Amino acid sequence: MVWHYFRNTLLPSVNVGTVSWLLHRVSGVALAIYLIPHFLSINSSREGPEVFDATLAVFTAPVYKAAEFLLILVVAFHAFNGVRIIVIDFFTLSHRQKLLFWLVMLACGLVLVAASFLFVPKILAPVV
Amino acid sequence: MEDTRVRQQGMASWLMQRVSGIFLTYALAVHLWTVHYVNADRLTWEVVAGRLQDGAYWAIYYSLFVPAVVYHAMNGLWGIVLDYDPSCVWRRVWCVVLWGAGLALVVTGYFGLKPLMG
Repeated sequence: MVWHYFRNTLLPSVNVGTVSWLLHRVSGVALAIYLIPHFLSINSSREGPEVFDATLAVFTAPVYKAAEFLLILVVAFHAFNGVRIIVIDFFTLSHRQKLLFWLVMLACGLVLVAASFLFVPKILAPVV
Repeated sequence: MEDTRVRQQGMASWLMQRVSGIFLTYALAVHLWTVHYVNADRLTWEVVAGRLQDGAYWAIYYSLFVPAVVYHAMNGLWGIVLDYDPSCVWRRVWCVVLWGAGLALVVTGYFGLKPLMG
C-alpha cells in the first residue's frame, strides 16, 4: 500500500519545484525550532561570565561542531532558495525556476566546501 | 470590507516575509562569519562583550536582527498554518501560540544580549 503510493503517486510527482518547496519548508521549520535552544543558551549571560563561558564551551565538542556544520548548510539553502523565490516573484522568472534551483545548489556546494575547511578538522579532532 | 482587510494583511505578511528575508540573508552572513570565522575558537564573554560594546554598529545590528529573525520564523510558520486552511478556532489558537512564542523569544533574546552589552 505504502510502496504502491510511493511508486505510482509520490515518485512521479517529484520534480525540482516540489523538492525545493519541501526543502525550504523543512529547513524553515527546523531553523524556527532551533531558535529556542539558541536563544536560551545565549540567555545564560544573565548568570554571569562564568556560566556563559561554560555554556558556550559545551558547544565546542565535535558532535556540536558537526551539528553546526549541518546548521550552516541548512541556513545557506534556506537563504539562497529564499532569494530564488524573491527573484522569481519580483522579476517574473518562474520560467527560469529550474536553472535558479541549480544555481542555489551550486551556491550551497560552495558554502559546503568553504565551511568544510573550518569544521571538518574540528569534527575529526578526537580521531586525528 | 472584511475581505479587503484580510487580503491586505495577507499581502503585508507576504511582503514583510520577503523584506525580513533579504535583511536576514545579510544579517546571518555577518553572524555566521563572525561567530565561526572571526571569533572562531575564542567565543567567550570577554570577546563577545568586547565586540558588542565596540561602537554602535553591533547594538543597531542586534536590535534589528533579533526581531527580524523571530518575525520571519513566526510569519513563516503562520504561512504553513494557513496552507492547511484551518478553521476559525484553530486559526486563532495558532495566532495566539505564534504571537506568544515570538514575544517570548524576543524578550529572551533581549535579556540575553543586555548583560553582554554592558
